[in-house]
Amino acid sequence: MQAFEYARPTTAEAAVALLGSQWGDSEVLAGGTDLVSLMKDYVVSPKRLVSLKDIKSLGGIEYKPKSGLRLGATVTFQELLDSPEIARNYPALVQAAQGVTSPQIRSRGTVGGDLCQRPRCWYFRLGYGLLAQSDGKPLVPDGDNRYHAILGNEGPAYFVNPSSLAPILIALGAKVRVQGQQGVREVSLHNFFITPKSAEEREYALQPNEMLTDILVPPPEGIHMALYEVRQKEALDWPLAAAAVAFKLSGGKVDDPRVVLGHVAPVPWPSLEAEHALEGNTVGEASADEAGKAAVSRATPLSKNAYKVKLAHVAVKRAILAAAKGGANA
Amino acid sequence: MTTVHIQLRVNGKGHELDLAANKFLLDVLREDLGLTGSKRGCDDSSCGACTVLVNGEPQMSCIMLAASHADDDIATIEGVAVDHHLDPLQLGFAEEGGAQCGYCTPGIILTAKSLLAKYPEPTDAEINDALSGNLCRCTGYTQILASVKRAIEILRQSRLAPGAANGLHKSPVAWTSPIGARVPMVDSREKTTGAGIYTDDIRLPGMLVGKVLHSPHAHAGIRAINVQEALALPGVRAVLTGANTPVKYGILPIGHDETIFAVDKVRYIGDNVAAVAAESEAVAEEALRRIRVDYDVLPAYFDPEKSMLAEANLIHDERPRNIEKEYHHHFGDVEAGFARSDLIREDRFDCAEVTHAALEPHSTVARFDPADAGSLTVWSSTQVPYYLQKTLAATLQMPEERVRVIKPLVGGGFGGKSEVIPLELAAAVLARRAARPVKITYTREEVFYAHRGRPRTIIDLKTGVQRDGRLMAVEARIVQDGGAYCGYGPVTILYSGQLLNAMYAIPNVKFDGYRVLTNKPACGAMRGHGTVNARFAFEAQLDRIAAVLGVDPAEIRRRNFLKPPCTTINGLRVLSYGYPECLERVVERSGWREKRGKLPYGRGIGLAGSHYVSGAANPIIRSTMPQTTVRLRLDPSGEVTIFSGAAEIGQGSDTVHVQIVAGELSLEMDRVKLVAADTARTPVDLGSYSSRVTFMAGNAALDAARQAKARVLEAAARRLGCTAADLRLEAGKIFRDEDSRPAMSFSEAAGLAAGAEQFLEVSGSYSPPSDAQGGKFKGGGVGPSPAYSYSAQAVEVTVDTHTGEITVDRIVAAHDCGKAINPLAVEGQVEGSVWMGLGQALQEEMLWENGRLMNAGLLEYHSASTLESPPIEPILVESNDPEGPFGAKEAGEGSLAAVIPAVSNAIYDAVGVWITSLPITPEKVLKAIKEKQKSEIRTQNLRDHYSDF
Repeated sequence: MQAFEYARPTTAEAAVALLGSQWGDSEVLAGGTDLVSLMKDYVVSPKRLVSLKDIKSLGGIEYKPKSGLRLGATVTFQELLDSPEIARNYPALVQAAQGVTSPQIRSRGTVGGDLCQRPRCWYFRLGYGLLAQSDGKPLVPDGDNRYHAILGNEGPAYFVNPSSLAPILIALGAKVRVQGQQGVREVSLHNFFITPKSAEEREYALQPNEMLTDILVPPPEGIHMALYEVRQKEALDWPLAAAAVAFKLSGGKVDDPRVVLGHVAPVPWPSLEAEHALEGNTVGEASADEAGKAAVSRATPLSKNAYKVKLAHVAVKRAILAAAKGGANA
Repeated sequence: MTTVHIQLRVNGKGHELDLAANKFLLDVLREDLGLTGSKRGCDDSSCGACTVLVNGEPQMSCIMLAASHADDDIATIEGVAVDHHLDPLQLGFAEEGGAQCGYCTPGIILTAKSLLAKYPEPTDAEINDALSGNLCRCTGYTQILASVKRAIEILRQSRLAPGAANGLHKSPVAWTSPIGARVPMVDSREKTTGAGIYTDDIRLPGMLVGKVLHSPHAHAGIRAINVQEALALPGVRAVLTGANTPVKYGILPIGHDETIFAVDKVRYIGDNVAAVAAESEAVAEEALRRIRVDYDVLPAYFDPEKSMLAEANLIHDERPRNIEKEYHHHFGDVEAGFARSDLIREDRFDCAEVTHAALEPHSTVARFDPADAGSLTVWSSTQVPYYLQKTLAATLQMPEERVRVIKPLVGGGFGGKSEVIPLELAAAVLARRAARPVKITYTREEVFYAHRGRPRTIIDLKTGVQRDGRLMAVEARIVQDGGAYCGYGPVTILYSGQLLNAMYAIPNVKFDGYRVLTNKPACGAMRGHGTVNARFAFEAQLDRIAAVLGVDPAEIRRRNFLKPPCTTINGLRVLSYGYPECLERVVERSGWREKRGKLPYGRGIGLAGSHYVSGAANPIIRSTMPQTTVRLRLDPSGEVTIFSGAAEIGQGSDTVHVQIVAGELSLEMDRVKLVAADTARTPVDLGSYSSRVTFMAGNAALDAARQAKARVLEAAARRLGCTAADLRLEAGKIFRDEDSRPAMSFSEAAGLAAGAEQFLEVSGSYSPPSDAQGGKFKGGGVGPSPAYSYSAQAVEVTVDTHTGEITVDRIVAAHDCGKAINPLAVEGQVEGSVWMGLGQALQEEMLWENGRLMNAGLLEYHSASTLESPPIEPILVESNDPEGPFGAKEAGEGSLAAVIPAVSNAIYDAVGVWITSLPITPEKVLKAIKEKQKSEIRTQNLRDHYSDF
């Protein structure tokens, strides 16, 4: 691992002042469950690490029925799971956090880190860059793409977004707060994720000298929500496909549904098709299946990942059925 | 580099340290504080071996910057036992076998401690969830769960009766034989307290760090190597390349095709090109970057079937068509057998490459003493100290007696440390060149590339049976993708053919085996060596045949049992044969009759069998020397010391030695000490491979103990004025005739036997009998064993028919181990084998792309955690082999293979599809279900069509 300078600012303003104007100069260190491995493998080699450990304002969980939930970026998965308010009001968020197995990761990994973790694409991890290219040629379309994207994969990015929390947070209409050199801005989580067009970009809408400070989730009133993950392996692995749904029911009919797929595209993938299929319908096997089918209607699988189309379809269907069954928050 | 001054609080004690700001806590604990109980398994937060408690929470110290934790309370394994009193968890792990190799144990105990601090009475599910971040490769987690539950029980008792004494080896009032007793491993204290020393824990004064430069090309000539810039770097003490080390070596006498560093060409990505020894890891790494290698890239071969067609750019010039070795066996007459068959099935099976992934990375420390013509001492994580000594002597061109190999604790082997791994030689040559001790420890990625695992295997299998299911003929064409060097290759391919036999009675067998070279790391011996994939194919095809015939899968196996004692058509002698009992016990326990074919769609049960050798009857290097010699020394006090070259690698080899000697001499186990696996002090044992230790070293230990007993009784008889035949040794005392009062204690008699020299030494040995050494045909030497173990297993699965996800609900595994000298350890071996086979069945796979490994990490390799490891119910069957020590046979490998076909057979029962390639992923299951539905629709349409007429 390359040597680096280690900084421990005590305020978010001081932290961003320590970040460089180019990606790669500095990295923000929270739990380090992803970043340290990337550094040890020379995938990233920052000259400076900016630790968030001493910035008190980045922690904390606050819930108010009127305004909803605020999660500080350095809240750990364990803290999230230990929160009775979250358990009561956002059961699908708890499901998502439970998908992050192992107490070691839960007690160290942070919610901000989950949103900003880098793709698991093995070409990226082997040093071929974010877009997995060798001599300018993309490796994924003809390579081992069994875990890669089936949606939004027209290139040059083929990886899937690895976040466990993002699909359900987007489905719930979450926003994030970003600290920059000039101050604080808010951005919807949906718009926080972007598909990079060059290997020098990142997969989230931050400037190199900005950082995520808070996650804001609207109140869950009347919302049915659920997350469903399809996995080859229960623990210490990422799902093959996931779907998060949130909707209201009025008179037994679905109102304003949100369907967001995970692990199928370079960004968490809101499916307008599935939402459209679901809107105004009663929830049942048939309508849920229709929505699942609609969610993958525009899928363009690569040479080795056609099976993920079916998995995403089933994940959407099961998430819808689970959400309807689960009852809404009063 | 910025340094920081911090105070670190570890196990309640403050330490003032000046540290590099970027130093990780694991490195500080191990290097600065000497707390080596925290283990490095992956160094990238995948395995949990480095777990420490931070303010009571389990965290992985390999990703924690030490400087960030000055305010925290850190607890390591060294602080768990207070004033030498073991914690209930440490006792639980000893008593219930939770620590095999012990490498994951400190992390697991700490994680469990954190759990119990919060929830004193957790459920099984909560324990498994809590331990899901701590990987273990030995146990299959069943005994780990039992160990934690035992600790909970001890804690519960101590709450009820505070102050009750707890200790590990509680002496019972009357002596009972340890043979057949569930005794804790003799090294369990070291392994549960963090006190045990593994190779990477060793630090010698002046020790340098060694690092190896690996090839970035799969196949390339080396035009030139320039090491000047590396040598010029301050802190570099030695740089070596192939020019310095031209001697060829290999584990098999017929396969000396490796050199320590590549000479003239590299043959796989990761091949060893050069190495440096430097004052620090950072300097060593920088030096590697400064070595200039001029490559001439060559076309490479990655697919064995394409490689077999090669005409140019051969991987080794002397191996035409890139075939390392091919064997063609024909016993009986398969054509006649097929002609008399009522049903013939032909299938192709394709099994992915898998690897051992022992939690302890390979590590070697070498020290060269130039005085007196030079002597070399090597501490290494090896299963074969003797072969390592020989190879070091050969490649360094030193006399064998000047090379000493010491095996510290080994954190798992599974065959991956059963041949010489290049770092072992590299460390030694660097130490000699630098005249300083050198340590090389592989990174996890290097471990994956060092490999020597189970090759990808393509099997074309043809089986003919009569209407009643009786086997008439079997023909197998097996191609193994062996990688770039020979290694154990010819043995692996031979096992795959030879051990088609000795399971069932097959009158006609033909085998065409090809061990093919490709530009990937060499494969080698892995648990169930050579037999596993062929057994999967055979047992899966047998079920397919049973399905066509309408015969119950258990019944078709019964109809083909061997009738021992017998010699198979290819010359394998079978004396004890517990397979029928294994099968019946599994059928009984699993509820087979009530479940097979009767569970709802999506659920199924399957069974299968497997077997393995109890040591190869023929040594790797032909010789008249016994396979094992064990020496015993009796002190006048009656204490006994065993000297054995056998290599404990977590399987319990040390413990079984002590049990056998203590049992035969009727001593308490704590009066028997063991010195093992140090070539300067212990006699030759060939090593821990082919499941040979209990059978062979055990027999040698028993032989030695019997001699010692005879000498002691003779001495007692002389004093008592009778003959030794009048005396018997019981419970540490010597009795005359039918006298119920002892005539003398064992110690007293031992003192007499030791005589004026105060010293008595005997040695025992073991060589397999000549009638167990197999047929006299080419390749006939591989496969013969003095005894075979047998296993039958039933597996229940649930298949999600919409996603292809597979859940294994239950495994019942019966293993014929001859006699369980230590049932606790035998169950641990059976469970570990089954678990490792299950990983191969469902998840594990080395994914290569143009010679590059895509998943060279424990997460990416999909090593199963507690959460996808089902409960395994072991059943021990004791067939009492006439030649095994106390009747014992092997236990550590034979149960691996059966679980794979049992899973695939269960999937057939659940959803009606046959999966013929490994691993069985959701993708493959989903695809097969879809194809089946399509073909059913086609058939239905066809029926509808014809019904119109």
